Amino acid sequence: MDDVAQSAMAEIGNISVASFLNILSDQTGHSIVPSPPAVIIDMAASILSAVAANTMEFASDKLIILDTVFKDADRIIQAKFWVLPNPDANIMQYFKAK
Amino acid sequence: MAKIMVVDDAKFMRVRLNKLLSAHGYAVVEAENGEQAVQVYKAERPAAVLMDITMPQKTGIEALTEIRGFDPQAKVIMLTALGQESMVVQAVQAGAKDYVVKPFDPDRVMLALQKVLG
Amino acid sequence: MADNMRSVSIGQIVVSNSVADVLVAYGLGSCVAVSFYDPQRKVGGMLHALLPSAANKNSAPDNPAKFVDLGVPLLLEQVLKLGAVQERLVVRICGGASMLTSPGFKNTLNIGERNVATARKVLSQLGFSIKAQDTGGNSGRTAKLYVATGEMTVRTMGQKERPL
Repeated sequence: MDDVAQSAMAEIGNISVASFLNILSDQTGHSIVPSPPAVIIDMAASILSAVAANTMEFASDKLIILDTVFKDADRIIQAKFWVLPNPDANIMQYFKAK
Repeated sequence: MAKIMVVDDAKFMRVRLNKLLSAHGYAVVEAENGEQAVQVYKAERPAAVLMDITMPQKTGIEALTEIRGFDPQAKVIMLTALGQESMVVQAVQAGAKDYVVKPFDPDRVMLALQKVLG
Repeated sequence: MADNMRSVSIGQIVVSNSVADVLVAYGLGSCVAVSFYDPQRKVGGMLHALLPSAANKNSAPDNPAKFVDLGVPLLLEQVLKLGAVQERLVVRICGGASMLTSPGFKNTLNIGERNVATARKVLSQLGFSIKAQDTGGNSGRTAKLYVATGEMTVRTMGQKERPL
C-alpha cells in the first residue's frame, strides 16, 4: 500500500473515530479529543495485544464492537470498529449490549 | 491568483485539497503539522488557510493561535473531523473564520474560502 | 504423525511431552514468548506473557503468567514437573516488538522492549543462557515449538516460517 493510500486509511480511521467521539461527547457533555491516527498492517492478534498491553487495561472484559458499512456509488465495504474502553472511564453505560 | 495554505497530517487530504483548489484556480502551499503550518505561513503569507485540528507536533488550534498572534488579519478556516461544540467554540474564540467538518462537501469548502477572501 | 497445534494464548503456559504437539503463540506483538526444551526427554513448554511485571506489587495477580517476571519461573516449574532436567534446557525468546509506531503516538511505555529485557534478566537470574532470540522490530510474530524435535520457528506476516 503506497503512502497516499495508507494516509487515506489513516484519514478514514480519523474521521470514523471522530464521529464516534463526537456522539459520545454529546452524550457525556465532555469534549473528547483523539490523538492522530496510525495505520498498522499486521496480524490482528499482534496489533490487538499491543494495544491492550499499552492501555494496561487488559483486566477490562468488555469491549465495544461497532459494525460499520462504508458505501459509495459502486462499492460497499464492511468494517468493524473495536473500542477498548478504560474501565475507569465508565462509558459502557452509554451502550446497550445486543 | 490567491495562495492558500493547506494544513493536514494526512498526505491523502493534502493531495485531495490541492487538486480541488488548483481546479478552481488557486495556488497551494502545504504543511503537515501545526509546527510546519506556522513556518510555512511566515514564509508564504497565504491569503487564507485550511487547517486540520488533530495533528502531531502542534495541533491546528495551537497553530491558529500562534499565526493570529503575529498576523491578526490571518484568515483561517478549520477543516476537521472533530465536530464537537466545545471545539468549534474554542476555534472561533482563537480566531477561526469558519469551521468545516469532515467528511466535507467540496462546495462547502469552496464557498467558505470565497466568503473569507471577499 | 500429524502436528497437533496447541495454542499458547496471552497469559498462558503450555507444556508437553507429546511428540505430536506443536506449541504455538500466534500474533506476538509487544508480547513475548519464552520457550524451554529438554532435547533428551523431549519435553517442551512455552509462556506467552503480556507485560514485564505487575504494576501493583502488593496484591497477588489473578493470572501471574500474564507477567514475564512471574511467568518464567512458573514455566520452569511446569516443564520440570513433566520430567525435564534443568541443566539440559534449551531456552529461546521471541516477540517484544514495537507495534504502535506512528508520528502522533508517543510510545513512552515501550512494553515490547521491557518484556524482552525482563525475560533476559529473569532467565539470567535462574542461571540460563539464551540459545536464540528473535525480538524487537516492528512486526508481529507467530512462534512455534515442535516438541518432536525441539525446533523453534518464527513467522512474520507475508513471510515464510523460518527457524529461530
